[in-house]
Amino acid sequence: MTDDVKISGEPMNVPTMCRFTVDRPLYPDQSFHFGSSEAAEMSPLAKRLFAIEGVAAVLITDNRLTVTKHGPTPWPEVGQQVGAAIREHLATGEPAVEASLRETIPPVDVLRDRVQGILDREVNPSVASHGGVVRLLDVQENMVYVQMGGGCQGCGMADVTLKQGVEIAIRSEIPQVGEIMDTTDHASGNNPYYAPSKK
Amino acid sequence: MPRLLLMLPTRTYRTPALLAAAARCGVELTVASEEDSSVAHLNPAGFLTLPFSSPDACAGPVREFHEDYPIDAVVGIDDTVVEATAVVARELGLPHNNPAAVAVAGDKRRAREQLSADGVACPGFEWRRFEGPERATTPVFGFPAVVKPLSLSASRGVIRVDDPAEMMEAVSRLESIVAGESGSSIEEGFLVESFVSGPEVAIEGLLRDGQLEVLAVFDKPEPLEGPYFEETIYLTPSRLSAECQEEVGEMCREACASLGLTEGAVHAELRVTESGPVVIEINPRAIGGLCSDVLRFGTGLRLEDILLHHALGDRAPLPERVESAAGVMMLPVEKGGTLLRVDGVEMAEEVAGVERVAITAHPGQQLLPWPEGGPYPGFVFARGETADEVERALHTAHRELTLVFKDG
Repeated sequence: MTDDVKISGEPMNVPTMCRFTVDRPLYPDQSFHFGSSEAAEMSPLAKRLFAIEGVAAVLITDNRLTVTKHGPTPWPEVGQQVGAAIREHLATGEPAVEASLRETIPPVDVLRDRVQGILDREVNPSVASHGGVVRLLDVQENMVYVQMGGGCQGCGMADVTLKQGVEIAIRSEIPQVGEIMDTTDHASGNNPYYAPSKK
Repeated sequence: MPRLLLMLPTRTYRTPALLAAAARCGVELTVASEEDSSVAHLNPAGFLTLPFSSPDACAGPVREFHEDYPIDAVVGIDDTVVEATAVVARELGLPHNNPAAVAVAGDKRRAREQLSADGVACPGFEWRRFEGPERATTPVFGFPAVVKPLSLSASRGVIRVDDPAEMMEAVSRLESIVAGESGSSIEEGFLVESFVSGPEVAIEGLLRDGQLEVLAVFDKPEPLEGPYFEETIYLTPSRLSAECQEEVGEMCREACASLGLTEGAVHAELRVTESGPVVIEINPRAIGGLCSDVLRFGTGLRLEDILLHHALGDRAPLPERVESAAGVMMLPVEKGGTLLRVDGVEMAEEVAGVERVAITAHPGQQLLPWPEGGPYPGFVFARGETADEVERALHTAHRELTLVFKDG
């Protein structure tokens, strides 16, 4: 029975993201991030979610789904469709993520080395010219945690550097990478661009 | 997928809000800044360097870039990029303000001259040079008056004067402020304006094909009587009567028409007097700082969503502002110094109605009180059933906050 499945939606600080909590496990004790519909081929649940207009990324974690959407469709409307997709998926009895998918992801150590290599070779030499640095903090599953330091910390353009540059470099070389999280405390940076300039 | 060119000066507060809105719109994104990006080599389609301070010189690089990566829309909503944005949009054949009109709007002297010539209600004014004997003489309209720089924003350098002695002192002070400001020159001179008494309001609007749509009217409930005019609280919806708000909107429309502004964001400030609204400022840009975060439209759209959709050619009816009251306080700087930290943020965020406290100043940053001013150390956002409730929440939160300076 999926009629009695209880799902709650919780908007996140980032307006493009909403977290849905289900009253039963979807992917017990595991998580997987899908950054595109192509990447979701081996996830029956994520495929259903990407069929919803505007859905751009899906993170499945135990009994939670974090959905990122683009486009103007409001969350209440998208949320209803997400709820219906979850119920439809649970009714099939299929796994949320096929077991063989995990085999396509490089082991965490390898992933960590490859991301670190991109940062060392392609990112940090040039970011250093602006007094900054991008550090790899951790890799969990296919999620990458970075921290921006030096001149990047608190810089008004740090978001641009990360999203338009660092993310694109990592994803183009390692498409299996899921979410890339900036853990920087920009409020305590000492080089924000939006400090006024004086002569 | 359409490509959006975002004109982002490196010192803007707006980067996260605009990037998030671009993501929601589902566009390919190119970010133009006046400084080279350190990671431009990783994504050639994603970055462009433009000389924002020389707007006409932006056209060539954009034309070349457009040949490789066709651009479908351009958005620039900071005052330092609006003229360059108009030049670029014209170059690409996209809806745009006339760059000459934007240049006039950005020069307080020329804007006053234009508005006055067209009979738009605005303060009496005189343009003065810093050099020469007339610099601090009593204006023909007498006192109280206001001295004002031609190009600074956020009321920096704006000083009320009530007699000749105050006038002398204020002009000297203003000269020092202008002389110390990158991008300004004392050669520009300054304005002396008649002081207009009455409550001040701000309008956030969107021009589409020459028609101004008022998105929000903000009250500024703190009395702005001088001697300095540091912004503090913006509250919406306005508590003015509907009729008065309509008059304010109409005056804003007249001012836009007078200046020749036809497309994109408009931020205006007006005083409401017994004889009707008077235009204090009108700018072809969006509300400054992080203040746009106070606005929500329709099902939760942000101001940046509205502006990006407009640039992308969406001409559907604009959604209404959400009905709840909302407000933002720009944290005042009562004394200057080297900031060590801001205490009480968690307590302030606990205040009922307060949505968030954003501290934008960083430890070690020099903060100055107005009129030298800037930057605001942070912003408090609140929502509630009524504007009164929101105003109380903002004041209560502010009382919890303490700016701690190095020198005590």
